[in-house]
Amino acid sequence: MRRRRSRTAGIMEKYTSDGGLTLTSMMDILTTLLFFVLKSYVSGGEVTVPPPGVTLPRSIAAADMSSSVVVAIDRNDIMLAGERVASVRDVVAGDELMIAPLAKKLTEAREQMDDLDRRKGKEAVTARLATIQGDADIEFRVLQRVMYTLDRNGFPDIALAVLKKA
Amino acid sequence: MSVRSRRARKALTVNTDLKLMPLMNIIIALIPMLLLSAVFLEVKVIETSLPRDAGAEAAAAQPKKPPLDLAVHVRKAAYIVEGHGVEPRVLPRLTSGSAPDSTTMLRLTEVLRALAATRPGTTEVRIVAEARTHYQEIVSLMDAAREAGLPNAALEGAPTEEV
Repeated sequence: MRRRRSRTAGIMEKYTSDGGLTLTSMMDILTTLLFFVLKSYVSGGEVTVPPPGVTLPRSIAAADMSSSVVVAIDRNDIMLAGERVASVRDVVAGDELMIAPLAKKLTEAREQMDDLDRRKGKEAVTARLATIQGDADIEFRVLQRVMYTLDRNGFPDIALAVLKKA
Repeated sequence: MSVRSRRARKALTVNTDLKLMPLMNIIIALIPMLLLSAVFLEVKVIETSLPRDAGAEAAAAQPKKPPLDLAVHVRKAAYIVEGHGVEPRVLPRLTSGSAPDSTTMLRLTEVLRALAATRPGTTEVRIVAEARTHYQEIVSLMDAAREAGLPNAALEGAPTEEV
């Protein structure tokens, strides 16, 4: 009996813990998740988020976005660098391909870029890049007018932003 | 061993367990913050331009053969593929929605690939869209052209009488 008691006491002693949580495995999971989330930040080139109300079209294109002037077009407005410059209704109402308010803002933006380049001692750039973030449902006549305005105001290189198809 | 030395050794014993709770707290705060601000949709770009006047350049270069000048005209009921010295091909559209149907797009890709193969080195195609053509449809047409080996797609508006 005495012998049996001492054996039970040994087993109990073996399995008794001090009540602390075993956090190592949870730490492993969380660390892996943290690295995954951090990697999603640095996987692409220029990271951009379309403005609210703009659903980009889907495409198989694979070229990364680069730093440029961004013109966003939703169903109601045309925006340059997040600032509303013209309404789609006004743009399609006329026959003019040039959108005057957008042209004015683009000229200002180009002058600022040229000035910055001069201060940095860089050579003058004649053709600059602009990115269009257009909603998938906009009509071609709107896109055509925006592209024409960009082309005539020193931004002949145009990139159309799209969402990559899975 | 005396009782005194045993006590002294016990007093010097150090707890070697890692203190993981502060690190856990940081990570648990970081993960939701990063997940909320992360962008999981990949934004890519299609490089394009307005069509240029190729007449002057072509006249200066004086090629032996005229360029193919492929064009895809978007109509309400069909896509029409045209080019220099090419019989126009009409591809009827199965649906009239903003997004073109995949069957028509596959056929268009095949037609463009076959035409491009007749003139090696051709990389350009014009997409002549109507005023009310949806942007998604234009992008899908550019994708079809890219799959056919014509990555340089220029956008052009259809003349009014064509609409």
